[in-house]
Amino acid sequence: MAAALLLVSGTAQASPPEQDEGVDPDGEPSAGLRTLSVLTSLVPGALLHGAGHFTMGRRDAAYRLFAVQGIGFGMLVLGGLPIVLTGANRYVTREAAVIGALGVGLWAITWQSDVYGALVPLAARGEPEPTLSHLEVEVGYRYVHDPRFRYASFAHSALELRSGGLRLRPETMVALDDANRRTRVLAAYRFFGPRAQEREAPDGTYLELSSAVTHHAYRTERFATLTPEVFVSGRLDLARLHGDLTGMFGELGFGFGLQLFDYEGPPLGQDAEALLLARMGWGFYLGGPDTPVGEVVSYYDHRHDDYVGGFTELSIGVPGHIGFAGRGWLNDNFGFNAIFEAGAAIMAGGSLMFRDTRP
Amino acid sequence: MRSCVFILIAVTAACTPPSEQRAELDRQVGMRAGGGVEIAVDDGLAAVTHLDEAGARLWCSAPELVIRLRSDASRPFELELFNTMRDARIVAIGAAGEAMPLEEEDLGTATRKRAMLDLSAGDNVIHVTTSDHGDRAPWRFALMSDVQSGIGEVQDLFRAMNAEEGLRFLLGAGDLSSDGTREELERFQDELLGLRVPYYTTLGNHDSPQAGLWQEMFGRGNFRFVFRGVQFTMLDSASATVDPLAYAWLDGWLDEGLSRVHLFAMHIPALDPVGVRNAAFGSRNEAGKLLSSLYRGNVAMTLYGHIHSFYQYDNAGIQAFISGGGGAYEERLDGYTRHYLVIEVGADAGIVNTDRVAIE
Repeated sequence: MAAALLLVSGTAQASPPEQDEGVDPDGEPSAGLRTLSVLTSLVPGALLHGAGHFTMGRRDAAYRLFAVQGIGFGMLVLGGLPIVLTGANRYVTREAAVIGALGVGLWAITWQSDVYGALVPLAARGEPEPTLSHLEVEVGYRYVHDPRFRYASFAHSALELRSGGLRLRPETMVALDDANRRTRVLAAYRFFGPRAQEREAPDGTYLELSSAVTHHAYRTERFATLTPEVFVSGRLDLARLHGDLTGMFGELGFGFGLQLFDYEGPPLGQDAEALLLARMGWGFYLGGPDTPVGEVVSYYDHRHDDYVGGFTELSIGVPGHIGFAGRGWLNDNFGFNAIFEAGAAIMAGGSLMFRDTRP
Repeated sequence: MRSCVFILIAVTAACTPPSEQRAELDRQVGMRAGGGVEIAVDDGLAAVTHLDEAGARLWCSAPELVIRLRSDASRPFELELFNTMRDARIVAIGAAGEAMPLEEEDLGTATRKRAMLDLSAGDNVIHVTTSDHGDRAPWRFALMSDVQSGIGEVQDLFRAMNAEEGLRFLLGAGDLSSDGTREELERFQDELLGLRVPYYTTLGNHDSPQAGLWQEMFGRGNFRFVFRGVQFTMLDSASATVDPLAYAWLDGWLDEGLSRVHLFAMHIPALDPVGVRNAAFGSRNEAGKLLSSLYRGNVAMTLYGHIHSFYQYDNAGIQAFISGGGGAYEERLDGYTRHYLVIEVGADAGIVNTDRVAIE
């Protein structure tokens, strides 16, 4: 995850680069060259990640992106070949799928970085929040479109408690128009990166181990699920890869869960389905220098057990879902977030956020 | 204005999920009009592949059918039944309720028959039954799915099935073809001439790309039939989901099947026994919904394809089998080769026995 991206950079750093390394505000491309760079980042950039940066003369950054893309492709082949050659054999699929999925994640991160980097001038990019509050509360609404179920409207609430590297997050989704509720409690430890009530982190890079339990009651359909899981995730500020990639970040994570089904008849755990968890994200920070405001992230999530589930119709059940999320702070205490996800169902919504920034 | 309507229809069709398109097309299966004749097969249990003033051809999806023919005039009529039971018996009732004489002939193969009759003006009813209709003693059927690129060797499986004692029909859980083209599906129907029992099947993800082709050639993707007191429900899960319209049908079929031995089959399983692979429903929660319904519907056995191997497990406490051994690219290193299942079942005895028959 974060370690993988650091490794491939070839210049792994324990701290972010000196300010302005590789960045020359006076060397921004002309409008025409920037336009050409954006187009190049799409074609042939969709296949040659870094083409946009290369076009605008930021060749070191371009080479770094291309190298990471290559490693992602290698991981995809390394993971995909055993699956193809064995016909998705039951004994090799798990490990192979994780490797392949992370490879796809690197691929997605490098391409989006190239497009964003070609599009947005360095001076206009945001910065991460160097520290976190010890308390955040979210209250909001979600709309879920899934014609196979009766529900559509949900009240969403979450509480996030942080102390140093420890994080506790209880969260609920309660249907307003059906007997359906999803409750999740997550506990995590962040080894490094922005933490609560500590000195500022050098950037947004972090590594975190989490464990969660989710209970989901489908009372109308008369079943429920209980899912314990373990997940390790990380974020790498791409400025660590190269200064020209400042303002962006990549995220990778994987884990495993066990989904226990309760059909109000057979004993709980009659069906105990292993769950492969993987999430790949790319995003950018909002706000100007020294005034971080928030962030936007696009992601792929391999989960099949939440409201959105995995893609159907043109798929064979294996893919997960995609999503876009953003959060922003209006002032020291209040902000909002928004989310959109698409898979077997579609979900969209937003929440008001409150944070306690007192020391 | 007309071009705007066409564009709207095209856009709507493009936005309509394939599973919904197929469910809507299922509604039309078994109904056709032409040449002064209207035909309707009860419950859509046959595809009307040809109809004109002189005759009709049906591809049967069940052992027993009720076919309603409305004719605007008395006329000689030739009814061809493809994919029918070897011992199918055809009884025709005219518009006045009278039994109509008819001449039957085999079409050179065990599963194709022709009946020549004189339709009366008005509503005629054709009953297709079997010699063992109503017999509640145990009997046997086979299950085979996922042929695809193995079509060239499918006769190996058919020869083995032909040698099985007492098989009444072959049940299928989809993926007959690799790409779902007309040529491939026609090839499969031709290969079925080598099988001495009919093949009643739903479709798989490989059979579904061309909207409407399956319904035109094979019939419904979602259907149910009862044979010798045992109910079979076939559901279209080719899109790793089931359409809401099909769920509405399923509710009624599960109610009907509460007092029967009830077997359920679809292509993509609700849950993959190898959870981390998830070659199953895209949504685990939809899987839970379906399995909860099947459990409460007292379903005795669930049968799936899609995974090119053999798995025996339980889902929601119901016996489950994945049998994808029809010849498609196999799951390697699993110890299984091409195979089919033979299941013995009885209306009173329930599931008596299940055997896997391997073909080297």
